[in-house]
Amino acid sequence: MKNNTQTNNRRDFMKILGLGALVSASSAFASGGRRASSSVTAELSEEQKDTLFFIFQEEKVARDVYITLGKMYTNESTFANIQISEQEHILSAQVLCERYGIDTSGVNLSQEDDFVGQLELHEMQELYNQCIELGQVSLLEALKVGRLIEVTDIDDLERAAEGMPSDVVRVYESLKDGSLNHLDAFEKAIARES
Amino acid sequence: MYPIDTALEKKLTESLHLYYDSLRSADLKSLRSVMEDESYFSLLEMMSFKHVFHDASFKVSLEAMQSDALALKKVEDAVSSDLKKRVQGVKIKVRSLESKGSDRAALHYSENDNIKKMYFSYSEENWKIDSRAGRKKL
Repeated sequence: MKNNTQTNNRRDFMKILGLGALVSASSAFASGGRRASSSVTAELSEEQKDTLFFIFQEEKVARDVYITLGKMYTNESTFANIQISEQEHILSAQVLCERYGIDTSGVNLSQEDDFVGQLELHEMQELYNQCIELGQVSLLEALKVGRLIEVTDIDDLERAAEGMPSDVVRVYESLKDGSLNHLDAFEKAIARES
Repeated sequence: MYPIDTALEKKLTESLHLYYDSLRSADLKSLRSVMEDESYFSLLEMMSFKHVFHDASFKVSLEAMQSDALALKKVEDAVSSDLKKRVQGVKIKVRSLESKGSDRAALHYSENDNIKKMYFSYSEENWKIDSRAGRKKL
């Protein structure tokens, strides 16, 4: 209940910011076109498994954006703090995949310099490149990129959770709570920088 | 089960080159022809991130593009315009083909020496680029 109340409050907050519509407009950071069915099932459908795997792969984009922006703006700690949390998000999504028999071994999650920002899927590379292009303009713009990433992520996780079994929903709720915290951090940093 | 053989690799390699050629020439009609619709729309969304960032009204078009031809045109025009401004010259080299199950495959390749992969799925008697087909179907 507390989480629901918190989420609703954040939703209102985002609407005030004019981001409410944006939240529902773009699925660039997660579930994309295929929607899960509305019925709760004990086993995942093929499409739901695809969604799990896609989200797992996509979590790397946000982490790598924050690592790169953090290196650009070394005096701003928000990126560094959140990138650690994003790594935990990746691992949570990975555990979820493996629980449902989805092989994740083919996805390179290395944080070594040579691999950060190297997305194996072209469309995710496009997304990463745009985030960096926007973020390199100034610290304020970079923080706004972070805000948009988190707002989008929250919406995508909500949509991806539809029709999923309770264990998947719990993980996605946890990830969403993390994203809400990140959103708060970016909002505060934006207020400081503005 | 489709055989992972040289004929399939050749076919998917051709699709991959057409994908990049279409991006280089900003020919979104051609691009769409080698992609699953959902993957095409997903790509448009990702390539439109900066437009959403700068223009709040753009998100309305993104939201409507799958059912509204005018909205799709607005998004495609913006993406096409961006593509035309790019410095081109991507060098593609296919490395291997991997089976992802009965109707899926991944083409491993390099893009300007960066390691990449493209997922494909088979439906309606055709192989198409499908970004959601990365999971191996058992």
